[in-house]
Amino acid sequence: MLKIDFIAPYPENNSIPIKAEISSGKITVLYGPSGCGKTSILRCLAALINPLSGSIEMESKVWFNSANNKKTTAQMRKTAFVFQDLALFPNLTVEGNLKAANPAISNEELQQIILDFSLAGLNHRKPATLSGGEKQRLALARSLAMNSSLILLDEPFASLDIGLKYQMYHYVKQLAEVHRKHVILVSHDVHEVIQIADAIIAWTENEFIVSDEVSSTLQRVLGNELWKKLSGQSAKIKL
Amino acid sequence: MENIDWRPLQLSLELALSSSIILLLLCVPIVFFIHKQRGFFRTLSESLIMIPLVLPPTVIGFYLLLFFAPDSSIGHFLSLLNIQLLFSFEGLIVASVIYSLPFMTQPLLSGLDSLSPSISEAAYTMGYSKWGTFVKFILPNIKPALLSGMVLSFAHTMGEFGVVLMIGGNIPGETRVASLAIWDEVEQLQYGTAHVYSALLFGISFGIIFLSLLLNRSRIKSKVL
Repeated sequence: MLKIDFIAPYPENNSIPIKAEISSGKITVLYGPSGCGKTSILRCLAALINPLSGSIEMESKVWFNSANNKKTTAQMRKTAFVFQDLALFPNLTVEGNLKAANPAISNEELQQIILDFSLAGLNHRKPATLSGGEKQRLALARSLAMNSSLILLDEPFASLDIGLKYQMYHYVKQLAEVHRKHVILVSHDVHEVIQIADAIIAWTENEFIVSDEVSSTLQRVLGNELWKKLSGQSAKIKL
Repeated sequence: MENIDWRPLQLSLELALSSSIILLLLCVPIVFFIHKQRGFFRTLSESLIMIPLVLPPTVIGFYLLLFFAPDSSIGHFLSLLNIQLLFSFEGLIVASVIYSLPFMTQPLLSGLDSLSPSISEAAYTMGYSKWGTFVKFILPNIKPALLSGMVLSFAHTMGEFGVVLMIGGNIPGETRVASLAIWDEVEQLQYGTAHVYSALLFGISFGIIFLSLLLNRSRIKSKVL
């Protein structure tokens, strides 16, 4: 269980309070319009920035607590962060990228991940030579190779076409359901939320609300009329 | 050809090589620090290191002459350490490093700026220290910029004239580099010798730039294959 209760910093002296309990084996989508501070929250979780105050507790380990000045670094937390631009290491091959994420990974584990994410045959290729979908799969595979129980996805599928998006949803589902990871996906795309979310943290009226009821929360956030239109266009597909 | 003094060319090559190596070692940490800065301080530091690009070489030479003079505080301090920079090869190296600074810093800065900051952040979340990230993921990804910086500063130092004349004083066998030798030979109407020096400088400079472009091209190819 990931317990968060903190105030994230935001440019121009704003701050974003958030309180949630996030379970493993589920995909929790952090939903809100661009610029509401979703990425700042993710960066706080990875210790790339520090919250202004509050606490973060991961599986009973305190990662951050402003009350007793407890802070852990990004290197200590080792959260698997999939960035918007994927942040694949250009100088390393597919295999090199996976090994860099976890130098202690066994060859068997490595080969299994390569198979699971359909990267077989690409082992010795560098990221610049991969297609968009292959790069996305490598980024997700790398997050699994890290062996972290928290996977943070910062809108990595925003630039993909719809077909590739559905492929990626399948892999993200695997991370949560098969590998029992805590998966948090940042998104501003309602259709994506409908397809993939098991739980939602949604931005509405200047605060984040947390719920396992994805549809009703979206309805509340979007308003009845818009919800009817959008949910009608996006029937949930079995991934 | 038998009467040609090859020492000026040898000095030019030694000067260019030692200056580029020192510049590489010096500029990597400086540029990495500047790259991390934002706003006014970054603009200020970039402007400072770019000054040699626009300043007449004689201005740099004149101020270095004043700084290194024995009656200046720096010159006095250096003389206590038994270091003589004026009219010496070591002085030429210091002057060349200052004069060619932007030719190393600019490619490095562009290389670092073109790398996504998320590369470093991804490495931190994987447990790599700042130093480990720099060595394993930053330096290997700016290799073309490092090569460009080396080539440009080498070629630029080979062609220096004003600064080396003012700091070195054109002493044969000591500070008389190829560019100064050409000037001397032309003054003495020895066009044949001037031709040899000039053609060799042209050939060396062209060869170095051509080789570096070839290397960069093969690097791009190997990225794709």
